[in-house]
Amino acid sequence: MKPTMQLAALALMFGAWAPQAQAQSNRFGPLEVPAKVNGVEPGAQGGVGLAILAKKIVLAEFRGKSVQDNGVILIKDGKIQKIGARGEVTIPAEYEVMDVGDRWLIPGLVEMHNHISGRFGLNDMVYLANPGLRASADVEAGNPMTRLGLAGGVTSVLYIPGSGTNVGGQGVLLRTGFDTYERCEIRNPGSLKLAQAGNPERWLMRPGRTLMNYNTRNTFRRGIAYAKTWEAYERDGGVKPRLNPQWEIFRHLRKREVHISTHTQMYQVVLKTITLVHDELGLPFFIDHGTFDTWRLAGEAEKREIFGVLGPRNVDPPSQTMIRWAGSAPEHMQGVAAGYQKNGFTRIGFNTDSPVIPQEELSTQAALGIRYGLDDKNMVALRGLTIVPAMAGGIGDRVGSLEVGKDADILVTTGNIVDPSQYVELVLQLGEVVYNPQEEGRRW
Amino acid sequence: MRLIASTLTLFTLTQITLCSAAWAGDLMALKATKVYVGNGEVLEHAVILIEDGKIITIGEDLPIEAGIPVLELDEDQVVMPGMIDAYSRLGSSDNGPNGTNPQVMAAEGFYPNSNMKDFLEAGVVTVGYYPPGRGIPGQAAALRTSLRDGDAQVLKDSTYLKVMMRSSRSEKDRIRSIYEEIEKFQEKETKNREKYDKAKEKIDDEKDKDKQKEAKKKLGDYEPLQPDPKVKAFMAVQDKSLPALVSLEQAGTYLHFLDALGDKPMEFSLRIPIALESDFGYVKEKVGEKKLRVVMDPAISVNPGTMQQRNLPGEYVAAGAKLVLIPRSENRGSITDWRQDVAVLIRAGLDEQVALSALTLEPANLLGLGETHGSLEVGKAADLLVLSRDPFEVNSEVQAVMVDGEIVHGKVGL
Amino acid sequence: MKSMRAHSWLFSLCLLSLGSYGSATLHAAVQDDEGPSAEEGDDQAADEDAEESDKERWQAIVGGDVYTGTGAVLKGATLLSHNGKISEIGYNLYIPEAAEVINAEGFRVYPGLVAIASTGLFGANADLADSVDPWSEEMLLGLASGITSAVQGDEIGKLNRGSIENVVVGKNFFQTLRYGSSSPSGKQELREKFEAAAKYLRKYKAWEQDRNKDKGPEPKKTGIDMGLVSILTGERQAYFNENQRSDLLEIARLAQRFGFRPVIGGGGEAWTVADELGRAGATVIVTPRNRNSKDERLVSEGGTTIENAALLYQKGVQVAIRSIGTGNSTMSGIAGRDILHLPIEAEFAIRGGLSPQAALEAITIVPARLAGVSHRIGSLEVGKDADCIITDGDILNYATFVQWAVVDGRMVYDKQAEMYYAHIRPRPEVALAPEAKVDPGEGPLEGEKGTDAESKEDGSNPPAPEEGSGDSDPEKKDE
Repeated sequence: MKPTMQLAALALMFGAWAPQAQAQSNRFGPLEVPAKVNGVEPGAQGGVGLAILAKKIVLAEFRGKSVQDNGVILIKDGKIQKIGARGEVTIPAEYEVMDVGDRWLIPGLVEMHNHISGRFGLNDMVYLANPGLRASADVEAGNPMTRLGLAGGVTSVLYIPGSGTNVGGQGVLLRTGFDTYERCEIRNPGSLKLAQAGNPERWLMRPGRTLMNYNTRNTFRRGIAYAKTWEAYERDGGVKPRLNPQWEIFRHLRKREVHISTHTQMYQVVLKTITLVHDELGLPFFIDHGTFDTWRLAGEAEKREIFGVLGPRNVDPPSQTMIRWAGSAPEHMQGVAAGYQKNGFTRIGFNTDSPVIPQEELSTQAALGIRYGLDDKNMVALRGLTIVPAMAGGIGDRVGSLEVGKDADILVTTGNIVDPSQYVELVLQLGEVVYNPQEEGRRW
Repeated sequence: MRLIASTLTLFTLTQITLCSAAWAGDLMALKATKVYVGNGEVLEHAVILIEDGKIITIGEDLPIEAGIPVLELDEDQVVMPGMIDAYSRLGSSDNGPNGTNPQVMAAEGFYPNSNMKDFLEAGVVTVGYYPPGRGIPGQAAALRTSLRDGDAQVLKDSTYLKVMMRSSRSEKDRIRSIYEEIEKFQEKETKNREKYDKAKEKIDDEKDKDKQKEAKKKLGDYEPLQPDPKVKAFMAVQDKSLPALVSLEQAGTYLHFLDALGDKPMEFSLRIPIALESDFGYVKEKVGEKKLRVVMDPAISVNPGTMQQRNLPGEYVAAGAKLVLIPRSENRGSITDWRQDVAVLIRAGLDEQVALSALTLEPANLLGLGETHGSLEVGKAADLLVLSRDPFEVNSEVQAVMVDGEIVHGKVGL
Repeated sequence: MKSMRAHSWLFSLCLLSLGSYGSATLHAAVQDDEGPSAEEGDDQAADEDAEESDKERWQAIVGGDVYTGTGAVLKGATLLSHNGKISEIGYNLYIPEAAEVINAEGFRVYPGLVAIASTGLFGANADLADSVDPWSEEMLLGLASGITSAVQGDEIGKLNRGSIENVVVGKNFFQTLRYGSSSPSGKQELREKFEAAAKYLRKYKAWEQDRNKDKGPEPKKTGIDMGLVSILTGERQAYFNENQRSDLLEIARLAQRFGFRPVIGGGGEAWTVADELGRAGATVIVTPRNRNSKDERLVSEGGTTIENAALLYQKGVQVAIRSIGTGNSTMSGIAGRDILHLPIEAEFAIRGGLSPQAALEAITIVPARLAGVSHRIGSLEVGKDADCIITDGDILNYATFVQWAVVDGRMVYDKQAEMYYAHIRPRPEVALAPEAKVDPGEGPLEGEKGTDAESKEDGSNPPAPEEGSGDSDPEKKDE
């Protein structure tokens, strides 16, 4: 062998050309990702189409099909065109083909309780109610914690203000795969953030639970009144009401275009949230913690078709401390999700409240749900990471499942991502490859 | 005339019922519809004859000799032995030095305090008063809660040695030190003896008879070393003349205590605090097997992390232990409510007579006064309570307290 | 003549009768030797067992798939322990009647897990032997998580629930050293101290081996750091807590220079210098989920990676795994990040590419080795302590629960008997009746289950284990 070649061989051997981290990544061998065609990635906006063949495609339809075995999915211009069995779907000629072999395709995971998409400098603690404040102003697209979440498979998040105050502001729905705000925004406003229990009672003057509930009702009534003036105007004409950014969101809420993401937990508090916000004021909301002993109330939530995005706590433990604090303790280690399921709840979702639980461990929350008693029939766990939180946030028509017409937010994984020993090998968002550990050299 | 006068006197005498006046030393009879003896017996239509502060006769439907003043109680009034709180600070603080001080006597330097009246009025006639502090704070004394001529009455200077046990090396070493100190002293004593013997030998070898006589005189007899008060107390523990009351923190502490004690001799009872979440259920069999005496609070506990209730005092009795109960705390309300708190245990399954003994005879036994106090039996002190109803009924009030045959609180009769 | 003949006839008759008596006895003896009749044998065995039960303790874990932790797996085997030590692992074992029998059919038997770092599991602070709370809730939860031994402070103890005996297995096995960029002068000092210690050791060894009658006095110990000497003699392990690449490199070099094998806690960036650490014979105690970004001021690789354990293992570095939190935080409602979820932490190492066998070793035999007690715990081998856990699946799978935990051959935890997890996928009732025991002297034939066949036909068996090796099967818990 010529000396230069020997050197090259040596260099090759010591991996001088490749990042060290690459060593283990390939359980199934290297993943071949199709190259760009005419400068655009296949499947992405403006590019040729992409067909992905996989042993298992998790569809996660809300009430429909769970999986497509030995399937093929067609993607073009960032949207899903078709999904079917390998023999039944014809792949158009100009489509690029990616065969992922024994790997799985899973819809990008959806997080409805995220505090890491920005610097969190906007966690206002001054005004007990501030429905006009927008978290979108604080977003840092593509920040390291978000990237890590992406490596864990999380493609869409609801970035919300904290719960130090009663009505902390508006959340924003974001994609995690891009590094500019414009490309990341899915919908703004994403939600109205309501916090009941645990934190707002301790605000500044210590209003306590009574004043906090009073404030919620008061604030919402004013907002509803504002929205009604606009509805009357839109219906009947007359004097145009003055625009007030502080209350605008209530118009979206009344039209059910936006939901209230509610930090609420413990039986009495969630009962109040349900009777006040849903029954009395008629506004759409979803439970965005629902931990401690809320599971006992799951029947009431199910009756009203309210979604429950559960976490970060996974268990309601037996302990005198919990008895004194949250009011009841089951006499065993009660899994939160399992408790909901036991009481007939069918809209179980998971969250991390990142950074309380690191964003990349969203899938692990589902694993712990199963561990502590959630029966994973019909892939309840995977649905809890995808379509359920998506619908809770009101974007279930765009993301959360692999269905025709939805965004091509797709994970290529080594297996069921709920299992902590499985990992993500590739992430497509709107058809574009936004995460490829083979290139990045680092994976989660 | 004289006959009329004496008859009149006799009549008056037989008709006079006692108020708060003291009749100590005289013979008198007490008649009651119901008497709880304290050892499990309950007497109906009982008659108690008291002389010189002691019970000389007790029985049902006994005829009373004419001339003996009779104290007749109302039909619903009930008599029980005076209660004994065997583990008490008489309301003062528990804070004290942390060390090994077995020679400290709680009775020394005890000055009567105002709390004693609360105890007495609640029906507690005697307390086991222990010295404050941690480690081995000293020896408890048996005190009367009633004063005599303004002075405290000490029934017994030394009743038990208080030992506060914890699961830690230092506390286990403290237990071991009891026997190590004795050994050390004995070694010293042996050496001292040897020294004397050597000196004597030398004198015996002396040829000069005069010198020998002088030297012998000088040497004198052997004077054995006296152990210091600490070692003396330890020796009393070792020969079992001084029993210990070992207080535990948790079930595991008992195992550590046994491990530290090893096969060394000690007579002991256990102070087992009953907190809301208590794990003492784990060692009840071990304790019951040895038929130990246990000092507990009248409280229901729960299995940790649950609301499942347990009657640990009842369980310990069932396992074979001898039960002594103390008030839930030393504040006035708890002393007054002592019997009501115990009633909770009875409703939870504890035998009523066992509960009664736990307030009377068993604490007397713990204090080494079991032969002379604690129950209404012949030869024992006339310490008794007159209650408005059965001891464990709601609203059962103490209407009179008799100590050594003297009514020291309340009134009876007209 | 006649008399003599008569005598001799009589004599031979006697002889004959004697002989026949003798041979009869002999025959009887021979018959006995052929083996006890069923009845006799039983009585004998029963008597022996009765004696044994007074002072002997036997336990048999029957029918489970025994994962010894050494790599060997015995399916459907029996693990027999005697007075707390493993006496046999195999098939068709003779089980004394007095033995406590755990029917582990359908379950797996693993070595009890060893936590290399823990707090609170003993309900005590220091001096575990004298302060352990044998009924602490923390200890029970630790056993429920599969942990039978744990390091706390400078001791390694057993979670010997209900007893204060035999708690401490080892002490003072680590000598903590500081050798990081946070104290550069300290590094210089340490090197000098090591030099001095090495010099002293050389002198001491020479003096020890000197047979000369008038050799000088023992070399002076003044000024010598005896802790470092104990590292050089191998008595204790040098323990460092460092994460940065440059510090780890320095430690590796220090170790190679003075000839000891370092133990490194943290080790966040260890994967970047895996070769060097491998050459130094290092052990890294990895927390797979640790997340730290690389220092962007530096050019070389850095930061943490989920592949840390796998990359280290590849280069010959011994890997132990610890949980994110060393105490119990599950009781506040957040599960998965504390000592009670040690196996899940190991599962994350598998996510990063570590082999399941290495991941199992990282929470069993490797911590035992580090604490110097691998001759007693860490794997299921004859002669070692009978500390094991019986699980309803792969211990490294997130949904697996410990069904029983055994310490010193005593069952100390039963999932169905404690309130915490009994309601989660409850264990179906399987007969533990006497008839399920193996009849002494009449063991089942190869392959035949003997009287166990009855309990099988009940239909009340626990679910059979998943087929396959120790790998966690991705499809295990799916539809």
